[in-house]
Amino acid sequence: MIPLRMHPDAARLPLADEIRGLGGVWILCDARGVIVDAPPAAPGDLVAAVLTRSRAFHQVLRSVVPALAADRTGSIAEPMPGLYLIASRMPNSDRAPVGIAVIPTAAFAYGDDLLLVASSAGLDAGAIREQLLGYDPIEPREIARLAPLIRFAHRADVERDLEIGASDAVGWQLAETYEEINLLYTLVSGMSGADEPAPFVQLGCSELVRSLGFAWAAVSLLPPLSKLIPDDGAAVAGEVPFATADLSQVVKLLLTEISGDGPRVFPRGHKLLGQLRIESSVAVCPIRCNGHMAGVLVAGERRDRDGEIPSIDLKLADATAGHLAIYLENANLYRDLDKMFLGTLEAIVAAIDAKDPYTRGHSQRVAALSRDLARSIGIGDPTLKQIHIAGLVHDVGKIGVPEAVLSKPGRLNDTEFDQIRMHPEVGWRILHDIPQFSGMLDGVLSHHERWDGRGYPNGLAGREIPLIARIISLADSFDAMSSNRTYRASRPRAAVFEEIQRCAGSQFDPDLVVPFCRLDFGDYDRLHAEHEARALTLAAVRPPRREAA
Amino acid sequence: MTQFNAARMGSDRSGGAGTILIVDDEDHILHVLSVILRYSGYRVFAASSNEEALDLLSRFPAQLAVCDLHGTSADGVDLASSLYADLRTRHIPVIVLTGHPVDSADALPPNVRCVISKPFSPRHVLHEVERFAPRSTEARADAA
Repeated sequence: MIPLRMHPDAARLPLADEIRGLGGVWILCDARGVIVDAPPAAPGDLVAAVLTRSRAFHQVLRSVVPALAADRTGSIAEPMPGLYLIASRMPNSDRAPVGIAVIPTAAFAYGDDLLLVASSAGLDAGAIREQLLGYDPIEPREIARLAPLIRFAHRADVERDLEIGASDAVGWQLAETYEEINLLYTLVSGMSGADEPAPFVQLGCSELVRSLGFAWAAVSLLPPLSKLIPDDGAAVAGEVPFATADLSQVVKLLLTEISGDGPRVFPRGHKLLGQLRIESSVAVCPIRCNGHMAGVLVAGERRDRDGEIPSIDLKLADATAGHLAIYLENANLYRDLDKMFLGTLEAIVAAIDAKDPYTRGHSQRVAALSRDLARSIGIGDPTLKQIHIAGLVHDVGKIGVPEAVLSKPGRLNDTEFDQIRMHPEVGWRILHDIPQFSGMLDGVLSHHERWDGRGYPNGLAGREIPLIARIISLADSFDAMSSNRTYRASRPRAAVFEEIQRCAGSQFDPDLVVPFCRLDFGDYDRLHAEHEARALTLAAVRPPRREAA
Repeated sequence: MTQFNAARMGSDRSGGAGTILIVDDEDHILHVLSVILRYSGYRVFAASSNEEALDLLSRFPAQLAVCDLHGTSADGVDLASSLYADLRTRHIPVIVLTGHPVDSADALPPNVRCVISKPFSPRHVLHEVERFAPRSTEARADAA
């Protein structure tokens, strides 16, 4: 950031212009008489040039100004005939420079000293004299009256200068606040829009590079949060001076020198940075969840800066780390909850499937196939997730169907078949009071509807049948045909595809059949094999036996 | 004329190079932008209405204008259109600040080169200003 400083134009304020209009020059000197600020001489302005550049004149200042500055000789001096110096000191400020109005009069223009001053500046005295006389000359008797006016104007200038400086300081403060608001606004909007942690962590890094003075930023998450984002918990933005794969090593090394909770800056040239061949200063902000170090945000200063990380940038990087911490902690809790929910659901569904040994794992496979089919026709989260869960629970109503009917070999009579046909409605009734399942109820209720309207329970046809139900229906039939059932053996894949294609437009949505047959069934086959194997071994699994005390 | 112009209202010898006009009806935005641009070596003129902006431009040529999109008295679309309609100011690129999302219904004239949404990062604005109004090396040395 551009450094905060006072108004830089002290010598260019209106007083300087006024004095220049009188043919003089306004300069600022230190107590030894050395010029510390003078207006730049406009091209061709020989008077201003000679009065600020001449070595002879500099000598004059050094011999006269210390006495003027200390107010030992009054505030007016005439060190060369016709050349007047009027000093103006700021009260209560010993170290402030002394303002000197250098006023040449006609006597100086015609005198020998002009030659001396001009030659030591390498300028032509004749040309200077001509310019000097071009101004309305000031009479020596007017100098004494001019002095208080100059002092008054000087004071007004300095006060105004201070006010501008104070106002600018407020402006800088405001700019930093804007910077902070902008960053927090971006992060908060990103937080509410991000379903997945990875894009949000990426946003945090990118924002540090985009709107702050960092050349690069990286986040490295430690276990268990590292599993929340790909690349082993790493996200980077900008030109990171090391490979992303090395990030966790870099962080590990930097953490060896970090104690406490707060952020820390490793200044350019720090021995650790040397070891890592990082040439800029680096800010390191811990990401803390529940009082534990959950990860680290590191950011490198731009190399063209002066190498120091401004406190506002460090503060904002730390605020970003804080937001990441809150978000990641929530994401982690949510993921745990989600896992527990799915796990519980799978266990309940497996219990229902187990009522009929032939349908073991059926619901899990239908869920997976439905999700794959939905994804292949361009459906994304959160609908995709709903379709998966609906696939999982589509047969939950079978809990109301007697086991004897479910596992009966051979043909069912009409009463038995009616019992089976109740299961979509029973399932709907079980789930319809749970608000979280509202998006999935259609899949449960209508997965036995047929495209030609001859299905149950409502005899819906074509696109009247909700898409989620059309998807599950196809996956359900495919799995049924591909598995052994009480009443028949499984069919080979080619025969199943043939049957499905034959039923496109009668039982199934014809638009879904084509993408379905193009799915990769590798995962499905693995799942199927796993379920078969488990059916064989499950009987052998026993809970651990407790030894009697 | 606002208080922010007072410091730099000298004679203009630059022909507009390095001079930025900022227009916004909110004083704090004028303050922030004028401070960061001034310390980055630009001459800054600030106006709080379109009328004032056009009046300033008629007297002091500018290299770039930064304005609010839909202020009550400073409307960026109107201002940019006026600048584009006048052959003397047609070449001046305009950066627009907006508190609302810009949709295609906001027909922006072609001199609007960049739209920045509020809340904005002052550094981002400076960055965009530097892109459309590169500072001369002299001005940079002066500001350093």
